[in-house]
Amino acid sequence: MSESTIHDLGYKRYVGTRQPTSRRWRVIARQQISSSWQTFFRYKAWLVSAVIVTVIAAVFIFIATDKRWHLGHGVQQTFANMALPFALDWYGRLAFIITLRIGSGVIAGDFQRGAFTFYFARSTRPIDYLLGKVGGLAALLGIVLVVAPLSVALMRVGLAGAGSTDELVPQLWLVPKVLAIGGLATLAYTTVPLAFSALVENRRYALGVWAAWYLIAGPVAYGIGRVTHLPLAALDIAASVKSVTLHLLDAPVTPWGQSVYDLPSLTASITSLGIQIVVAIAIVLWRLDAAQRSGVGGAT
Amino acid sequence: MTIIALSHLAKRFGAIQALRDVNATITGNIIGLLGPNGAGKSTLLKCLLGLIPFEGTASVLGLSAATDGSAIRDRVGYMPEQEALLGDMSAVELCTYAGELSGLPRTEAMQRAHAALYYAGLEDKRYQPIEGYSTGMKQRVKLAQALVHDPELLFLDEPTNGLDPRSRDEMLDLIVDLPQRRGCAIILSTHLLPDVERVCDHAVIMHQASVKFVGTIDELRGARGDDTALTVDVKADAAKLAAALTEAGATCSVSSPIQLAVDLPAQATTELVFRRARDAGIQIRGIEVRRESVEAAFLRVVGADKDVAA
Repeated sequence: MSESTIHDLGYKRYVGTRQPTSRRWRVIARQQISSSWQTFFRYKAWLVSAVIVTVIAAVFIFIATDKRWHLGHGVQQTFANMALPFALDWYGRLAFIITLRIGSGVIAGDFQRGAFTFYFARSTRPIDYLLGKVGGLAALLGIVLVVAPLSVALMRVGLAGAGSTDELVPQLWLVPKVLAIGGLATLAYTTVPLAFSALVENRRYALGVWAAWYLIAGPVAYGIGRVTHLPLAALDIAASVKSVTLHLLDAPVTPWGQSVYDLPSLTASITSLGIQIVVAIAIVLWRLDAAQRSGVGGAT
Repeated sequence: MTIIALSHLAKRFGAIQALRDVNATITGNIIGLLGPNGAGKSTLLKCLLGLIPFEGTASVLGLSAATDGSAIRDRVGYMPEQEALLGDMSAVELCTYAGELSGLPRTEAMQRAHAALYYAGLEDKRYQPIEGYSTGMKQRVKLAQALVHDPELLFLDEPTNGLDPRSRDEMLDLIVDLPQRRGCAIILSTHLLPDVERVCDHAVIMHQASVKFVGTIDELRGARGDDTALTVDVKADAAKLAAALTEAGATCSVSSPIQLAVDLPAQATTELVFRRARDAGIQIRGIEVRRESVEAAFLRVVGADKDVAA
């Protein structure tokens, strides 16, 4: 026997109740948020950027309410009306950067570190892991894609100059529309990178594949779709989100002069985003199920 | 108390029969799970944790592995062989997280994380990021994360892998201490048979998808039922005693001037040794039944195929 001393801090057997398995996903979600919060350039920098975009949008709304913006295609809009599409366009860019920093590497990183042994040797189920990761990332992305645009929308509604309730109610429709756009975008920006992360069991490669899908494959599909008039353009996540934004906000042109007619249709965009979200979730669950079966005690 | 009960357990992966009609009742405090690579240990472990479907019945701590896998995993701790730690975390954060994932409330998980790390010998290093830990420290964290939720049964997979002799000693001391202090049974899966010899009281040997031996270590080492093989320690002149015993029909082998191995003739007892020693004027310092080493017993059980010991 060695000379080592064993310490024990008054060990007592745990006799309390255990949290039900169905609530374990919250622990994973909280851990995901806390790990994303750790360094400045993982999430905080992009959150600060979103705040800056919100402030700029607010300035547009407050100061330049009646000034008109020449958008091309013979379209003019007031700065106030374009503030929300402008802000959403930037929130989308920031969301993509966030997915590069914390989304696309999540599952791949866990594969690389053998973390599924850690998770699945406990009573964690693949669905708990999925809900936890999606929940955590969606909470972080939702601040940029839902909370920030919602605050811009509320400022827009507040400054619409409605003199009576009858005038205010139509303006309030902006709120559910922004929630729908933000919610759909949040789900797409959360689940699709996670699917690539689950497919490619290497953090760097997963990041690269997701970036290639978003920055190369999507725009290529968009280009082919425009030329061939096929709904292929809707595969471009950014274009689909833009299309949903412009259609729901009744804005004919993006702040950068891109016409709504150049974008995929609303139906094609929503369908494409929906399919990508569902397929992404299915891929993640399939990979997690396999990880649960093989992750403990060596591969089978 | 029965920890694990297996009845006609079988598992097939396509054409490969990973477990074949396994029947066993496993008891004990520290049980060595032994077997060559591919013997079915990992598959058995997955079945016991309820991670894969199987034929037959298996119960762990009285719970059915087929239907209560989740409840079993809440009551079992698992220390994996390979690195299975999360990045960007200190040891105390990881163990707290592990406790919460096993259903402990956050405060309780945090308190137990500190206690488990203290117990595993990482008291002053527990706030450092795990990435900077040495192999020995990572082994300790793996043990702590397996202990944090207060399991009744611990599966330790090669816990002394990659450890220097001192760390290995300390890890084995912890393993021996666990059942006494925390009342948890241990299943120790290892290829290091000296570790088994040192810490285990029971053993399960698997080979070619089935269980070949279940019982105590003493039963394993003395399974030949042969108490006529002795090691005799004398004060001096072992050769003289060997000559006297050989004359009486024993087979002797002198290993040093003060020790000899004796195989007594049939029906003879240790009294023969004492009598011959007295007649020869030799003082006996000790006699013990010479048993097989665990390694020799293991090789015998798995068919004396030396290749399987790797």
